[in-house]
Amino acid sequence: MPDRRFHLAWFMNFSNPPWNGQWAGRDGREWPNGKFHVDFARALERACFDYMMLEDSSMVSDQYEGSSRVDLKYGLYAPKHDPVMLAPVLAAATRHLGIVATCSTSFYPPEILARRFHTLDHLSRGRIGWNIVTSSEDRAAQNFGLPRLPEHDKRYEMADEYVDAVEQYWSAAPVDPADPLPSIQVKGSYVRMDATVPGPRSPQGRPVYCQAGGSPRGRRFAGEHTDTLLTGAGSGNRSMKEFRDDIRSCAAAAGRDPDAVKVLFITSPILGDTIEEARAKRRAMEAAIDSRIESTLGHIGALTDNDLSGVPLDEPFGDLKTNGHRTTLADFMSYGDTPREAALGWSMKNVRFVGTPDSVAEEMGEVMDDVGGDGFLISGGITRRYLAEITDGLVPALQRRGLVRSNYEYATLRENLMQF
Amino acid sequence: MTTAPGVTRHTTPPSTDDPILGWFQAPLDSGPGPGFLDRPDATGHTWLATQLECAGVEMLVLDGAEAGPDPLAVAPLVVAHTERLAVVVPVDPVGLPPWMAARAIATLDHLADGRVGWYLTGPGADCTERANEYVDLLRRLWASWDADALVMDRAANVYVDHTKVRPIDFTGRFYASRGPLNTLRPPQGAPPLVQPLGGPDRAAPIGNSDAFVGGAGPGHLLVVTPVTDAVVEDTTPDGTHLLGGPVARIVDRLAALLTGTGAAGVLLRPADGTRRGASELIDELVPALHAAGIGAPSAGGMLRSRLTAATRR
Repeated sequence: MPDRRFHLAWFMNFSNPPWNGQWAGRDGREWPNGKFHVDFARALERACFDYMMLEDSSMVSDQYEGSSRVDLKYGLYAPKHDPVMLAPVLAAATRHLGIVATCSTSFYPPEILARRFHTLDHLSRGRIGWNIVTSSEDRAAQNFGLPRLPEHDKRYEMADEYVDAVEQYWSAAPVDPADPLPSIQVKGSYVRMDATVPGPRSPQGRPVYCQAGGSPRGRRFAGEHTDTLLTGAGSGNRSMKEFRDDIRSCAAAAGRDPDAVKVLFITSPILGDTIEEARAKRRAMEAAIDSRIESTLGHIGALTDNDLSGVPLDEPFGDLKTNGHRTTLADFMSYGDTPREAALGWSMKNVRFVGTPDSVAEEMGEVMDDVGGDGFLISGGITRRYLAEITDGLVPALQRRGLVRSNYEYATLRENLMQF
Repeated sequence: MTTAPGVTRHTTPPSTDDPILGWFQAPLDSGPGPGFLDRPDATGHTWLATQLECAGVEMLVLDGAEAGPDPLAVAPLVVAHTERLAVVVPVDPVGLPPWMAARAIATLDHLADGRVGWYLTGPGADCTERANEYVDLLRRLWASWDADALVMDRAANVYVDHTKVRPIDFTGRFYASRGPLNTLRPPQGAPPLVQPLGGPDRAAPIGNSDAFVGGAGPGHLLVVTPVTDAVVEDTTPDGTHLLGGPVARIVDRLAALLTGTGAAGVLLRPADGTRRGASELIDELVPALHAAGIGAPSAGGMLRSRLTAATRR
């Protein structure tokens, strides 16, 4: 019998969970103490998830209306606390779950990032991952004293050099703790580093590399470096298969084994006791039209540096450009001819699986059989109620079908990720 | 301060005459073989932190050494393993961009319910103008969110009131940052700067520190290295007091030093990097000091309030 297993991960950030619903508890105020995220990590570990991915950004957005009103009203970009400070807390609370933290190659000094992840890999005993981003917002650059970010493809060139530099650092760490600690000097066109490696080789040698990015330049980067790639291209089996096949050929072109890149598709299953109940939930989500339009236009505007507050909702799109999140912008505009249509379609785009734990598990297995792999990144409202539906409803249904792991067989994130 | 319904916080103890008793973990010569604090997975640090917490020590000042685990990755782990012990982290103003430092410390202060302090380290800390600008910028970033910005207005569906969050548009000689920060205001407002004075070569101390480590004036935290195998008394060039002799003599001399200088407290700095050396101080000296009224078993709470109470005495 063929191994049909695929991987599961969860998309999060160190930010507030939904706070204004009937099932929100008190976490809307208390999440900064980390306990909500610790509970979350333990539940994901109980369900044998490969990893929790902590997204990040470095700004309060004022792109919409030239004000931070919409960003802060909905908690879109901010508040968002430092995921690298949360990672050791999550590592201390778990034994098997992978923890992936986002850091930008545009802002993190390379010797600081290299040392931090070296320690994090040791602390977690080989369960740390780095979500590599180049950032895309000029507002973030300005927080670091820079007027604006470099152009999209140039950021990837810089990131290539950056990854090369920190890899030199990690691979120079001695295997034998008794060996002397080496110094690393890097003098590249963009990246300079002069550092002493602070200790012996970490369990994984280097963190697992995670990435989201679908532009041609981003795909090349993924082919060369990435261990696990996250993508929103999950709406139809054909586009999923095309995307995954393309990433695999990028890896092959870079001289790597295509199986060394695990592509995870973002999805937000809606679950109910019956199929009718799940569909009713979906209808209720779709009915919240006004807040979905405003928060989606605020979100897309912030991601792509466009003020969408003044655009007429029911007229065709004007010409929109962006220096970041290019794939996201194109994807958004593909959901309709007008901002209203696009916002309503895009905000529900991750909703594909709607049903009972058993019916959704069956469907997910069929999709993966069709696409070829490699798994799903669950994204959506981070409430305890939704978490329980996934970890205690959907995952056991997937496990009964032999579609996901029922235990962790290896000690490190990379080994578990590469197992199938 | 206001707390959400159902949130229990340690209340700050009323001001007493107790000085602060803390621990300064400087880079150490551990003799042959690696010291326990060199363990790359930081299990030595978590061991130390839990021992200090059990003994009622108020705070642990992490060292800024270039070797060993990264103190900013170790600090959250220490916080996760303790409930009362405060942790003070080193920050290099040349290496770490101020926006990143402000955010990391703010995040940590939230994780620790206000048990976090920080200090500047590295060559940048010795340049007074640069160091002052860095400190100023971090405090402005923390203040870019009002303490009551999180409104959670259910009727209007407003999570954060944007009129209480502002850019800072900071342009200095060494640093620039537009702001605002993207974290909620830290529980302590501005986590306290607990700045080592360093050696006599250091230029003027960094302005507006909340406490000084080393030195021997009012508001300072004396750094004391107890030595139990010899009767000595000396001060090293970096301001550390070496006190030798039986435990009772060390306690007496320390009491006299505190009275003579008006210092706010004492940071014990162990003489070696072994578990045995640390255990000796934690198991024997710390209880003897507490018994003599030099520090009291920590009741926890915000580090800022504890420092304020100690400097008022």
